[in-house]
Amino acid sequence: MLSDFFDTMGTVIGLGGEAGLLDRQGKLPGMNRVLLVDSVAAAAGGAASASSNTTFIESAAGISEGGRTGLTAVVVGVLFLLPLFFSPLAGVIPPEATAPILVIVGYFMMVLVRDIEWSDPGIGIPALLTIGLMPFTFSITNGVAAGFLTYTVIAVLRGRGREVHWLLYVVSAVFVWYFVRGLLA
Amino acid sequence: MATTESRTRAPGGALDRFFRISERRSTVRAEIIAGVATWLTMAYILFVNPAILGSVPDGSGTSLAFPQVLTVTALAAAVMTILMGVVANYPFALAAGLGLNAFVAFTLVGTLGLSWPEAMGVIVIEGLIITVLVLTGFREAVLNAIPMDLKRAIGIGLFIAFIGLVNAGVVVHPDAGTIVALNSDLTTLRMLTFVIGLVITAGLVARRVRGALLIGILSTTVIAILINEIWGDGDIWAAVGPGGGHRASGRRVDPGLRARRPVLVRRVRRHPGGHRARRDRGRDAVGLLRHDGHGDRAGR
Repeated sequence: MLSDFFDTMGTVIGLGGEAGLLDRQGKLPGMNRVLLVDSVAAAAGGAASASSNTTFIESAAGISEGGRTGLTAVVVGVLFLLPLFFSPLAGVIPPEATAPILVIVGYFMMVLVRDIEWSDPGIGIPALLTIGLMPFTFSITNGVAAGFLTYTVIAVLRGRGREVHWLLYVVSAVFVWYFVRGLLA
Repeated sequence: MATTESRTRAPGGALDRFFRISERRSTVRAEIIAGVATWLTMAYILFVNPAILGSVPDGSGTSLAFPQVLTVTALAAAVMTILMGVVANYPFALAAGLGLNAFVAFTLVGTLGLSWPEAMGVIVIEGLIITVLVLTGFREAVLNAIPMDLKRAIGIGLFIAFIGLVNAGVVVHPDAGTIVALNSDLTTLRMLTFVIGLVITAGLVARRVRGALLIGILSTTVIAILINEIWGDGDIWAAVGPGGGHRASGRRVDPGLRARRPVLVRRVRRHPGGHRARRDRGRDAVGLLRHDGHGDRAGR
């Protein structure tokens, strides 16, 4: 839910900018329609047991080839219908063939960490814990929870508590409960 | 001349108006090429989504079968992407999100112990809640509350790569000693297949080949089938499949390979074919094709 929340906005603004379709205030005209389809896709993906569907940053590939309108999306959608006829054959694909892709996709995602202000401890420490705890504990939530908590705590400790949005305190409180509920039980 | 022009304009007219193609300075041809490019780039999700969702069994021991997840992944992506095109008119494609699927598999099912139907039900409810939040404008407000720094820090790249290494059996959980360890036997044919796949895919990505991930999966699968047949007597992947329980005896793998070939051929043909056509036209324009004459142009 968290990443569904955050990803789409960043993705859509990034893609819109690349397509030159943003207005002068840096907003995408009709953004709400995009968000609406994206959120309906989340529910539809769950209903189909495919897990939450969301806008893909890979759309940039088509935009760099000149795609500017919904017709590009329609073409992509029609192409996605083709594999339906071949899916029974997918059983022959061994995990050894998909594992390399996970490694490479992981690399693609790690490229983004260069934008993190690592030298600022108030950001670098939460980032390290977020990124590290996910594989160490095999849980995305543990990583995100540790990141949000340390971010809020460090901000308070260095006297910048007021700059933190009240919503982050609520989220942090929930994550404190998440970590200590074992003690209470 | 006039007739051909009106003939080409008539079908383009309605399409052009609906998608505002020329208003955005694009052409139908460019849009179609763009669609193929995006699809080639993201089609890997068809294989990665089943790989991730299929890697965790729920409390009752149920895990999601690979071919079925692939089918619903394709269907959901097709419907939602077409909807995005028609409703929002932007060149944005949708599919099952990486990270979101990992959250469903490892957190909802793995950590919280939900069954697969319950976990997918949570996603439906989550989607409906977000839909309401979008309609009320709350989603944008919440997004603005979280500082950019913190959004950037939520990186799942290392986790995704780690899952890949675990799925391949490179990283294992030893009985004693370190918490995770390198597999003590890296000289298996399975490991060889993984390494070949990694080298192929990394090479394609480094050369910036479009659809590198998709080509990587399909060529590694073909190599796996060959290794299985030649050195493994068809037994290496006797019960492979992230879907589990799938028995691929030598006899069943072989028709799979034969039936797969048309897919590969079509994809390969479509892509370079397009490039060649474009290149030829370019050469034609500067007169490079004229010397070998033979009415190339008249033929078209």
